[in-house]
Amino acid sequence: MTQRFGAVLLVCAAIGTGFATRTLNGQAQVSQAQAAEFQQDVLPVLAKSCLGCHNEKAQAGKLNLEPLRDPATTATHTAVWQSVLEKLSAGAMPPPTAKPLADAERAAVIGWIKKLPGLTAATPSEPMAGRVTARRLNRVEYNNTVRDLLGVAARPADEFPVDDSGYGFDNNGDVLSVSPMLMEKYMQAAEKISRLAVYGEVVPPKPTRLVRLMNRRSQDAYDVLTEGNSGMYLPYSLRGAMYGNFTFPVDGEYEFRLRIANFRGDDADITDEERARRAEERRKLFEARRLEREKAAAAAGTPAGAAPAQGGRGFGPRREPTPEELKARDEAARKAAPPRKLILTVDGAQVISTVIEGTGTFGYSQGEFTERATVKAGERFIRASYPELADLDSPLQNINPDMRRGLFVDYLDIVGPFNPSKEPPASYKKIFICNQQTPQCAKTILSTLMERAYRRPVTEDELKSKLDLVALARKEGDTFQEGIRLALQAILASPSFLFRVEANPRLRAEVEPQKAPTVLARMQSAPSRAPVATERPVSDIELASRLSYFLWASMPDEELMRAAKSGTLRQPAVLEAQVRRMMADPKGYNLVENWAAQWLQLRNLGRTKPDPKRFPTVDDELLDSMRKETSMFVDTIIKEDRSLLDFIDAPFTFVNGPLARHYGIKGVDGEEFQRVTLDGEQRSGVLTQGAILTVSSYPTRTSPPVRGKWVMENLLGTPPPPPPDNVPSLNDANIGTEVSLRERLEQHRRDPSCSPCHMLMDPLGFGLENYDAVGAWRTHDGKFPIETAGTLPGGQTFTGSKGLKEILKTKSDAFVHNVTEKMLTYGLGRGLERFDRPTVETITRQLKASDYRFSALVMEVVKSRPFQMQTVEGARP
Amino acid sequence: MNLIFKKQLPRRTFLRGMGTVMALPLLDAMVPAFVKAAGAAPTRLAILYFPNGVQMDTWAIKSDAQIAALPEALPRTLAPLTKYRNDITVLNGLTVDGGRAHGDGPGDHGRAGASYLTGAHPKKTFGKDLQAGVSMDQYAASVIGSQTRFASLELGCEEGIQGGNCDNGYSCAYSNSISWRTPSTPNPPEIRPRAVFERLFGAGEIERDPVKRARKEKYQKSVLDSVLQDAKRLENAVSVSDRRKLDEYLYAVRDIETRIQKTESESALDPEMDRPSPSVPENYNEHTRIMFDLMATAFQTDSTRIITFLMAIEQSNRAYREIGIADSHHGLTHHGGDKEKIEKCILINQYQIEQFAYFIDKLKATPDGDGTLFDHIMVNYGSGLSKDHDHDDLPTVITGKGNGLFNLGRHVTYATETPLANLHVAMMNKMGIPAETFADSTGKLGYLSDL
Repeated sequence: MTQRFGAVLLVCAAIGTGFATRTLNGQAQVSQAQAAEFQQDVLPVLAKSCLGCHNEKAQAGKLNLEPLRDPATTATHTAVWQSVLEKLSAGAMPPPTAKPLADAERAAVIGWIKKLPGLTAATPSEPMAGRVTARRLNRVEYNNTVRDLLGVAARPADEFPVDDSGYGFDNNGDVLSVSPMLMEKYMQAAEKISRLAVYGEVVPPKPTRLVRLMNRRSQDAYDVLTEGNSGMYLPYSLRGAMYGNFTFPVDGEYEFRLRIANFRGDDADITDEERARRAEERRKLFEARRLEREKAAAAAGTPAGAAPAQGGRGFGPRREPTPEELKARDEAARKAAPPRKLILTVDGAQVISTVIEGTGTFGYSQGEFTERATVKAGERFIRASYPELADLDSPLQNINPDMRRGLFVDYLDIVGPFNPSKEPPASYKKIFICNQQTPQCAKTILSTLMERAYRRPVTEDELKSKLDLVALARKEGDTFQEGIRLALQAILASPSFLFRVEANPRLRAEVEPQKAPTVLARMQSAPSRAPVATERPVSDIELASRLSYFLWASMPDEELMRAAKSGTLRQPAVLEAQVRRMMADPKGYNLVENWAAQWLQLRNLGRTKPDPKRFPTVDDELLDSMRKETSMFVDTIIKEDRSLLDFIDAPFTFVNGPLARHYGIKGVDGEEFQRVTLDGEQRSGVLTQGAILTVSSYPTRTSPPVRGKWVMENLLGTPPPPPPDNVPSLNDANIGTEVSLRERLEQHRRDPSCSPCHMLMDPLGFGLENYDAVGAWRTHDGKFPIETAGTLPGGQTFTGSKGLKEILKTKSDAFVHNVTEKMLTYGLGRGLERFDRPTVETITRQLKASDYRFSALVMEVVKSRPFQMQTVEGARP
Repeated sequence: MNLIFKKQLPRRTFLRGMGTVMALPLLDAMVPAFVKAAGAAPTRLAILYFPNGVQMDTWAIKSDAQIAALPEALPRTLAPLTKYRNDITVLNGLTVDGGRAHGDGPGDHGRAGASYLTGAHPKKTFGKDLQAGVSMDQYAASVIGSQTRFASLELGCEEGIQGGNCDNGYSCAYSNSISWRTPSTPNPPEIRPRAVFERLFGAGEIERDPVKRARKEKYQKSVLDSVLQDAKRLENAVSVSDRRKLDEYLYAVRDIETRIQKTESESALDPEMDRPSPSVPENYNEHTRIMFDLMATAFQTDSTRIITFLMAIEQSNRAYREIGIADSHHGLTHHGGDKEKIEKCILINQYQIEQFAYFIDKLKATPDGDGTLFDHIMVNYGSGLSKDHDHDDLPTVITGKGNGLFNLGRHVTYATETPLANLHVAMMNKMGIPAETFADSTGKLGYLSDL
């Protein structure tokens, strides 16, 4: 597959990938005049501005325009031309960073297309609601739903296989499948959760060690120190900290046994070679002594290895040190190991806080610090650390030349529970809302439970099938509770729980109470859009689930359900109030963790870790801090209802001591994150955040094309086409030493098969070259000074991240359009279709009128036609 | 749910289940005489897939002969198998045409993974309308899978990638799985040793009280019945596109149902290995070994006869720091002729071959019927990519005697464009599956047993 592009074309144009196109071969005929016009006015534009990317090989946006080249048959590709017309009319193509078409060119092409026979309409297609495939809960949704349904602490879905994702998000109904293996896990989880919910955790009769938490021993940690089966391995921290989540089974007291450890860096100032030389010297010395001993032993007639005649270590008696010498030795040891604070927190609350001091032989006294604390059942964040080490200028100050850490937390054992709560678990009270052990009571319990678990009213038939299980258990001689538990097990394994199914509207019997004026009524009565007979509103109850899984990735709560059942949910004021309430709820953090983290590709951070040889100061903890920075940043945009454009440029971010040092920001100490004001010179906006800069780099170096692609794909929504097959990767052996990365890339770009797209990507990436592959600021790469000037194919020039952000701000329409697509895709749980385009455009317009407030984006998605309605099966275009 | 009841059903129950001859686990300690009476041990199948292709010039056997004994010195990538020269056969010239572009542009990795066992030309999509084909392991499982508790197992050493577009417009599902139950349902591999063990041999405490145990089984069945009813009820009320999802669910529930029935008719399974630690080993060597141990145990206990195993997912970006390579494997294969990168590619392929050699050892050391597993298994170690993302002349090594199917110690060169599916057909036939063709096969691959 070494064939090159046929034509050398200057500009890449990509049609947004969210919109599918189809080719229909009609029987269209064009006049000779039209054919001539095509040759003269259209084909040159096509060749110059479109085919660079939309060709047979690259197929940007899955669109190949090559078949349009043939004047004899071009008119038969009506659907393709239709889509070209839409893109050109909307100004969506060529992509924002490419060279724009001259007005005359655009007009000529549009004019020609409009004259094509068989063109359905010159306007964008009518918006449609579309259908969302029944989708199973993904791992996040499963855990959240179980938590909100029953209040159990377990996170059973962590054991499920990774969910596939489609269109960038893992809540896409079409790709979420059920394999037999997953079903088995569902069955296991259903049994486990039902037991937890009814009987609570099985608490060991006496306190036992529940877990030993250890962190990795090095960046590369191949030496897995498995101890028993209860080991849990946590991220590596150069500063010796240890942190992670642990799920406490029951309310009660737990004992935390924390062991600290340290390695002395006595020889911290010597080189590896020197250390090897000394080791060799020592070896020779020992060898010489051994030989001497053997000789002496042979002479004395005693077997080798027997104790030498005199005491001590073979060479004369040892003199006891004087008290003065001992004192001086202790003093020196204390100096070499200054007092350090050590803390252990559980969900931020201090459990251990102490100061460790240097002692004689080992630097610090080693040992366990034991403390008991009362902890509520559930998943808690545990962190043990030496907070002062956060302020080391470089974490490597805690690393000895042999790469072992100076101070670190060796392990943390959690032992318990002591005095566990004898109360029935909270989930018990949630389930057993009725106290008698009667069939009537079983009915009350199960109908409530099922209605919540299925997120809809249940039929008599459904209820009966679960009551039968209670009866079965009773017949077998089990308790009433066991009967309910068994029914709960079946409920949790039922497709009605595992899937979010929306009834097929044709079959829906019940009539929703409709009270005007509703969002829907307005939509249906909008003059420009006559009600489409093929669409129906989803029921209010289904709408409640759509809302809760969008904003919370979990089931609707009581209040939301109440609004849905009362038929008021669609009243604009009620709907808006509900959305705002849900966004303000802690569960609303879902938009940060799941929507934004997938949009910005934060989840890929750490998948391919930066090379520890090149970036020795970057450990798991710093990567986690970067992730936290971006998460807090996004959360702030949401909470303060800031403008979407703040993603590109906002005068603030969040850093702690270590991250501030990594960035070169002065005046921030400690482990806690602080909000800092930015002047925008070096940092501001997501593009300057470590997480984004790292995720768009290789483990060993930056890649301007990858960063450029990241910007095009995730900010502008116009991903460049993929490279042709078998493109050699850059020869990076001597980059930084003999040649600059920029120069090497420019050589690469001279290759005609590469240049059309790299001209788009590379300049964007060069604008970010002041940040290395882990997001630290730099002015040189190796011995070469960084050059950040770039020229876009459209002729715009800029310098550095500041300049790049200015350019992006001029493309705010494209950016907002793209964020809208991402939000709508996530909100609906399906990929966008061509008929969604008007919806996206409507939302984008509304956003502009609302100063791009984040809440407006969420509200407009919620109010949009595809969110409120669904296309009746069979009516799909 | 515990499907397995370890040790609590001794001989008595075992004998009661004698009707299901083929489904019985062939544990020598339990039933030596019985096995002899039942005849030869069943033929097992293991497909070991490695991603990103190889440097063919360090793999291919240079020889003009169509069939010849393997030379004393094997090419560099295969060198770790030198000691096993008589235990393997190297096949040249096999092709998976479905992996080629056929006008769909780039995306060779996604296509390679999804076409390897399906022979299909996967549809270019981010995921909405996945379309590959039924893979041969799953076809075989659909025919003979009912004879064992697990129709098949899908295992691997690298977690699949989440993210719609993995390879130039191909969904990650294509590179994450080589096993496809239906053209739109991939079987994602399990990578956690502990999870595999518990799936095979049960997770929790064993219920030894027969009354309680019987009750527990009854409950399990009632729960399954109940949810099956739920699914049927729903099916009548949903649209056609939703029904596809429900069908997946129904299939999975029935799969569990049959397994429970089989578990009852069989007896205790007593794995000869300890329950693995819950952490997934980070060290590649440790990880592959424990997975290979699990595979051998699964075969030995006749829990399944078909296993697919991903040495890593297709287009894997794993860095093999265990052997001092910090670069991404996939990145390295775009070496552009850079000698250092080529060298690293070779080292990674060699390192994986070393793991494969361990599996051969393990098979030979695992007693099975009247011999060892090695005598009764067919193993295909290969990739859907050869050099430079090509889909022809795929690197393929077979091992195990396959109950007489494989004549080992040779290399065979087939006519160019011979479909890999011909090998699938030959192996399936050996397992008693009367398939004459599969996917794009043109017949049954010859020269496997005879000279």
